[in-house]
This record gives sequence, structure tokens and C-alpha cells, in this order.
Amino acid sequence: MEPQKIQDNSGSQLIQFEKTDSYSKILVYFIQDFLNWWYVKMPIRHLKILGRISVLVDDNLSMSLLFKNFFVPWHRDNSLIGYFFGFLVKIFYLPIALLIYLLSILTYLAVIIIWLLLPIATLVFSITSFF
Amino acid sequence: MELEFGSKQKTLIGIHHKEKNSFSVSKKGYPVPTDENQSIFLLTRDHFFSITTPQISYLLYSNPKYEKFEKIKSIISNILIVPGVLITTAYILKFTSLLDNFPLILSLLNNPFTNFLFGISIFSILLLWHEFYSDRDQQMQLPLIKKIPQRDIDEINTVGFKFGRYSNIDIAKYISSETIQLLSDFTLNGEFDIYHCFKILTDETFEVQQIVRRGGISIDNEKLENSDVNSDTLPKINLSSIRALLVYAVEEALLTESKMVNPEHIFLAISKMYPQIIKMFQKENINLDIFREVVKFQNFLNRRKAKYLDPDQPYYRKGGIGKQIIYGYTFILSHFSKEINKKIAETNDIFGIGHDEEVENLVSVLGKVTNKNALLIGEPGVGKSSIILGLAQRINKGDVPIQLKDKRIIELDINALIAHSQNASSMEELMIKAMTELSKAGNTILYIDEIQQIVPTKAQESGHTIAGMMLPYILNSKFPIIGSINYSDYKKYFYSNESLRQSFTNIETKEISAADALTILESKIPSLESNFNCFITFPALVSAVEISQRYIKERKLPSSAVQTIEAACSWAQANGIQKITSEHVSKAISLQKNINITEINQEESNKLIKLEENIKSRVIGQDEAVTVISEALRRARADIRNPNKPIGSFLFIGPTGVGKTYLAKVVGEEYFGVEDTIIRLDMSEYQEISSINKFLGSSEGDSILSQTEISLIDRIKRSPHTVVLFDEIEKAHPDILNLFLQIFDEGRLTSNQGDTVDFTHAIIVCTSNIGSKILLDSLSEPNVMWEEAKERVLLELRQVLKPELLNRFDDIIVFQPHDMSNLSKIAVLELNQLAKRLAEKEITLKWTQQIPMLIANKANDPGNGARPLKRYIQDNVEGQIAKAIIEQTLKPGEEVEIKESWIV
Repeated sequence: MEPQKIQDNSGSQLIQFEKTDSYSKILVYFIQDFLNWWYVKMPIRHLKILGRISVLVDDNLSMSLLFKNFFVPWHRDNSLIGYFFGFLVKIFYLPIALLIYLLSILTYLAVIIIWLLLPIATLVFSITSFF
Repeated sequence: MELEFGSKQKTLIGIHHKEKNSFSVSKKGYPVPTDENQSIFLLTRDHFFSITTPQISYLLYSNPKYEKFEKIKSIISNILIVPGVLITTAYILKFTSLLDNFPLILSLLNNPFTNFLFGISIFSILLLWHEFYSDRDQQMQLPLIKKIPQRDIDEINTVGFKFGRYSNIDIAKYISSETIQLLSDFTLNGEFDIYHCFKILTDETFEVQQIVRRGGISIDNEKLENSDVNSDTLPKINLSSIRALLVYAVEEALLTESKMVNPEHIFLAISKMYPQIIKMFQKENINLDIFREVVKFQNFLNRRKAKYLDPDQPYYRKGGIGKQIIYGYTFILSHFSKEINKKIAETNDIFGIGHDEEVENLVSVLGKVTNKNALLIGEPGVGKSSIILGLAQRINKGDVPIQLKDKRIIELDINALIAHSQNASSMEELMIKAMTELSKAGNTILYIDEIQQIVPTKAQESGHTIAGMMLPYILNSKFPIIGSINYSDYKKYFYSNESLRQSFTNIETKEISAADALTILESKIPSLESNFNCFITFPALVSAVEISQRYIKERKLPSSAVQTIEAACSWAQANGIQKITSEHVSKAISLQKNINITEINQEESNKLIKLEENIKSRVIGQDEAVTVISEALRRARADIRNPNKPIGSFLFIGPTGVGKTYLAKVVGEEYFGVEDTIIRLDMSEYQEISSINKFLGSSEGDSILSQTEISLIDRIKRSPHTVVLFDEIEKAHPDILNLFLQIFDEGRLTSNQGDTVDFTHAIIVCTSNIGSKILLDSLSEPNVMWEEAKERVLLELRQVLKPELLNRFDDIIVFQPHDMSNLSKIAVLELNQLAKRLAEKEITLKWTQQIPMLIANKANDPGNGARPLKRYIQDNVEGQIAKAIIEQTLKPGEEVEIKESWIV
């Protein structure tokens, strides 16, 4: 291809076509970008999502809210039954909620680990298949 | 009335002269420097945007290679998926023992190359994954910009730029891949083909086509040619000029609150760089501001819905399933109330637009420890309810301080309370129970719309008012209460009641700006379009806001604009129109309000040109007055008058019977096209100051008289497009005349009840008999010139009426007393009218040329003008004909001629 010379009005050369990125350079950039995305950007994002899942599950299961209002009676009915019933419900409910919460967190942690292992594992699998 | 868009003063275009090393602000249009020594940059309040020519060269010339690489990578990855799928299927079949009879496939599966291929295939999926998400996952986003303070602009103009205070943003990082592709496609040998790029944008780029369509116009080859938009006027530009194009494109991206520079911003940038394109749009009544609004609207439509797992979007805690059990029940209250949070959760509309300040105020009042009651005060339709809905929306999102988290807004329905109290033992008991529930619940905010209702509403048994029952709860602030009320009711019910007044923090709700009203209409487009099965163009929305601002003064924005666009949609649906334009909005409102606000068409244009002629044919001998009034009316219809004043305000002076009232009546008929449109007030009835109530409505709400009497305010409210005639103005009490100052200056009047009534669509005519004697004498004294008599009358007028009032009239017109020639012409008019009435009875009336002159001569009474003439015709001509009809000497189909003998 005829090299193109890009010049400004004063005639000084701004850029030459052969000076633009070569395909080998583009490949190197791509590999760098892929590794950066998979092992830096995405793990950070996954950790943020993990944080969000923690907040979301806690909010939907009202865990923090119920812990904070542990001694508040059932529907603010300040009678003995209200206190008793409120206390009883929380005693039974909170361990279940905590279990669901931990399961959700652990599941997503597993996803992150799989994510990190996936490219290496695939390559290792491909290479070791010959041995 | 031009709608003020929010794009002004947000950006500044700067020019850098490298050789002189000077920086200046571009004051004229959008320069396109072709010289590398000149560069364009963009300045916002906090940022400074620039791009260099080598950066552009790199983007444009490397891009094809990157594109090619991406394409090859994508093809290979996609192809590699196929063996991956086949191998996966085979593995599954192998594990289910279905391949036991196919040893060849089994041996293939055991081949190391198959496993290698499988691994590579999986890896290609990872590559495609990267390709898909790294495109969507754009980390870079243009910032939101704010108005540049005037003092900063003044400083730049006087001292120059202080670049240290701005953060520099590299435009190259914010150009989307589509835009780079577009620029790259049309750049050859360092030259960018503007015209063909513009053509591709308008012909083939989906986003731009959407914008143009929403703008209500179409762009085709013929239009481009007619507007001189071609490859000669839009020349090829060099790389230095592309730099300017990108700076203007980033300006458009910032003004439209976009995240990246997209092809639609290139379209807007090219449009503003070349005046012929702007002219082409102007011919279709559209400007770039409207296109910018459309781009903003498209961004709003494309905005992703809230994804709870997206860590880039804020998450607001809602309380979850346990929220209910820690707050109290409101069983009884639920019978006569509704929960706003629930209602709001079901809609996608955005509430509280344009009322951010009021919502913030409300949040801070409700978050207080004591006196956490708020009162929203504002005119009807300004959006008081929308503030409550906006607050509910923020609570639902969790975007509120800790004190308001998980709160429920409960709206009390007073009518339902009264109805429910019929079944309960007593209203007091019901209210106490409901209030106790609210106090215990711990998560409620009570909202009472039209809160003034609680003051007069009483329990049947005890006579206690709801306000009285609620007062202890209002005072002890156990739960927050929000009320909404308008100014006049506040004055009536709250201002005089110290304890109620002190218990609430007032939050004034102002009418939102036209730009905010437009945003609200934009947010309603999807629901309106699906409801009315139509397509709403943006000029229609702009028109709805402008018309509401100008013609629907009885309601405020946004309510008036929403009603206008809904009326237009409804009208369009009834008429089978699917694409709603600004003309349709004008037409619909013209029909609804019985006024003419459409563009002037040929027929009406002819009518307006002949207006003076038409009035002159009906009003004899007052040519000067007719000319002055006709000019005012033409100004009004051509939309160049001051919209905040009445159409015209005139003072007619002259002796009785010269046609002052008649002219006012004719003007009303000719301009508004409706007979008897005039509102007439005899000012001799307003000599006492107490009569001001007839003017402004009574402030004494209990007086039966005041409830039945119709004040001027009421009449104007009912028909604002009218002629208001104040007869014998000099006889009114001076304090009443002071009210005229407000009408003439601001085009409005405030009633005793606090309502504001609009006079901007009325023609105000005041009449006076001051100086009549001088004018009449001028007829009988040939030595006294007319101009001299006029001067003397005006002098006398200044002695009676205050100069500040006289100076506010558009014109003071002195009516000439009628001479014999005029009286004769009036006689002809009167006889013509009589002939018309007789023609309905199939009787033809004839008269000779002398008759009108004879009548004028006989009926001439200089002190009374044309009135005796009418009476004379009635007594002598009509009387004779009536007698003949009764005696049956004159029958239908016959002719009758006025005899000279009748004129005795």
C-alpha cells in the first residue's frame, strides 16, 4: 500500500500511514487488554457485585433491621404478647436469614474463583490434552 | 413567547492562536479554522476539552486496522464455537451411554486433538465474552455540566483564561467507536467529506433518523438542494477542521447530557457549523435546541432500568420482608386513606420534576425532631401533589436521610372519613383511634390534600371540627403531617388561626420553569403515545408549553401544559391524525378555548388587512379611532405585541352618541368573531369605595350577596378573550381607578380572595364624556379648529384623571361629534338594517336619496349625537310600516317606499 502522508497547511508532516499501529502491535494490545479486563477490571467488578449482593440480601431479608429492632414488639404492640411474639419470631427467623445470606455470599465467591481460573484452566486443559 | 432551553451559558468556545500564543473567546458562530496554527477548544464551568491533530490522525488511520483485526478475531471465535458445541454434545451423549454403539466417535473423543479443540473453543467463548462486555462496559463518561457563572465569563473576557482552574479532558477518549468509524469512512487523504457524511447521517443512521422524525421534519435530497446544502457549500475539510468538528460534537454531547460523542452529535455539530443547514431547519420552524431536547429524550428512553446487581448504580435499602413486623398496623386509618408509596411503585413516571428545591425542603422539615409538619402552599396546578409523589418515590428508592427511611406516606381522604363516620359510633372516636394508630405505627407520614377542609368540617354530634380533634397530634409531632393548600385558602383558614399556623413550616411551591414543564411532557410521551395511538413530535410539546404559558393563565405549569398536550392528543385521535405537530396543538386549543391561536392563513390574512375597512363601514365618522384600534389588533394577531399586557387599552373621549360604545362592540365582533362578547361596566356605579367588591369580588365569604353577585373578576375568568368597556371612567372612585394601573401594566388583577385574573387577552376600552361641551362647541363655532378643541379637551382630561393612569393607555382617542354628513350616513346604515329585518318578512323597503338627509336634518340634536336619529327612524319610519303591516295594507312580497311625508 502506498504510504499516505498526512500534512497540515504549513506542510509539516503530522502522521504517516506506516507509523500507525501494525497488526502485531494490535495483537499485543489486544492480549494486554484481554488480560487487564479478565484479571484486573472484572475481579474488581466482581468484588463490587459481591458487596452489592451482601447489601441486597441483607436488605431483602431485613437482617440488619431486625437485629437493630430486636426488642421492638410485634407490630409495636406494647403488650406482653406483642413482646413475646416479636422476640419469638426473630429468634426463629434470623438464623434462617443468616444461612441464606452466607450461602449467597459463598456462591458468588465460588463464581469469582471459577472466573479467575477459567482462562488458565482452559489453556492448561488444551495443552495437557497432548500429554 | 420563546421557550427558554437550558443550554445557554453552559459552554464557551475558545480559539488558540499558536503563533501569537493568544487565547480568545469565539463570539461569532462556530469558526472552522483550516490552519493548523489555530485550534478550537471548549470550556465548561469546571473543564477544558481539547484534541490534537495527531490524535485525530491516529484515531482515523489506525481505526481501519483495529476494525479489521476485530472482525477477523470475531469470525475465528465464532467458527470455533461450532466444534465446541459438537464436542460438548458428544461428551453428554457419551456419559449417557448413547454413544456406545459408535466406536468411531468414542475414539475421536479420546483423541488429544479433540480435547485441544474443545479447550480452544471454550477459550473463544471467553474472547467473545470480552468483546461483548468490553464494548458495553464503557468506563469513560462525559461529565454533567453546569452553567458558567457570569462573573467567570466576565473575568475570561477581561483578564483571559486561567487554565489552572479547569481540569483538562482529552476529547479523543470520549469518542465512541461508531463515531470513529463514521469519521474514518469519510476521510480520504487527510480530507473529511462533510456533505456525504451528513447525507449518510440523515439517510441511514438510525439514531439521527429517529431524532429528525421526532423533530417533526424530514430531510430529503430536494430539501437539501432547495436549501443550498450540497457538496459545494459543505466542502471537504482538513484534519485541522475536523478538530473543530469534534470540539463542537463534544459540546453537543455535553449539552445533551450524553456519555460519549456519538454520530447524532456529529449531525448536530455539522448542522451548527453551516448556516444553510440551520436555515433549512428554521424554514420548518425547528431549531437546534429542539433537536438537543430530542437527543436528551432518546437518552432518557435508552437509559437502563435500575439493575439491583449493577454496582455502578446506587442501591437504596427498602427494608425488606421484616419491615412490616416492626412497625404498627393502621387498620382503622386504612378505611379512609391510601398509601402513596404503593401507588407510586406501580408506575414508571418520574415525579417532582422542577421541584427539587421544594422536595429537599420537605425532606429537611420532616426529618426534624419537633415541629416536623409541613404545609405546601401554592397556586392550583403548580405541582404540590407531584412533590408528595416525588418524595414517595425518593422514599421508595431509599434516597432519603435515615429519619425518613422506610416511611409510608398515607393520604387522608376526608370525604371517605365523613362517609365512614356514619357507620362508626362517632367521628371523634374514629379520629382518636386513627391518630393513635398513626402515633404507634412509627413509620407513617400523614398527607392531607386541601388541608383547609379540616377546619370547617365538623362532627355531627359534638360539632367539633376535624382540625380541633387533630390539633393535639399536630402539636406533639409524634408523626409528621404534610398539608397542601392554595394561597387564598391559607389566608382564609390558616392565617387567622395562630396555633395551626405555628405548627406547620410553610414551603412555598412555585410554578416550574417552561424547560422543566417540557421535561415533564417528555416523560409522558411513552404513555400518551400508547394511550392515544399517535406519534408526538417535539415541536408539539414545545408548542403545548408555550400555549399554556400564554393562553391558559387560570392554571399553572406543568398542569396546564399536560392538559394542553392531552387535549391535542385527544383531538388528533378523534380526527384520525397520527402524527401530532405544533399546528395540531394550536388547532385543538383554538377550538377548545374558542380563540384563534393558529398561524395566520391566507383567508385570515385578507380579513386582517381589511379589518380597518370593515370597521369603518360600520362605524361612521370616527376614522382616526378605527385606524388606531385596527393597528393594535393587527399587532396582536401577528404575535408581536407585549404578551404581558392587554391586547390594547384605549380611552375614548367624546360627547354622548358619537359611537364610543358602538365601536368597542364592533371591535369585539370583528376581532373575536363572536357577537355580544363585550363586558360593560358603568363606572358611575363605582363612585363609592365599597363598590370595589363588585370589581374584585367580596372578601366577606359569609355574605349571601357576595356569593350571588358576579364581579368583574368572575366575568373575566369566564371569558378572558373579550372587550372590557368601562363607561364614564371619570365617575369612578379614585381608588378603583388605581386598580387600572395593574391591569394596564401587568395584564392582571388580584381578587379579594387572592386569585389572579388575566387580562392579557382582553381589549380594554374606557370612555369618558370629559370636554364634550368643547367638542360640541367646535361644531357650531367655525372659528375653533378641531385640533385646537382636541387640545383643550386633553387639557381638561389631565385635570380630572391622574397622569399615571393616562400615560398607561395605548392611545387616547377623541371622537368627533357627528356633522350632518355623518348623520346622513348613519341614517343609511340604520335604514339598511331595517330593510334587512323587513326582508326576513319578504317585504322590500325602498327610499330615495333625499330621505337619509331629511332624517339627519330632522333628528339632528348636537348634544346627543346619533341617538335621536335612531329614535326618529323608530318613531317615524318603523312606526308607519308597523301600522301598515297590522292593517294588512302591507303584505309579504310587497314593496314599501319611505315617503317624505313620514319625515315631519
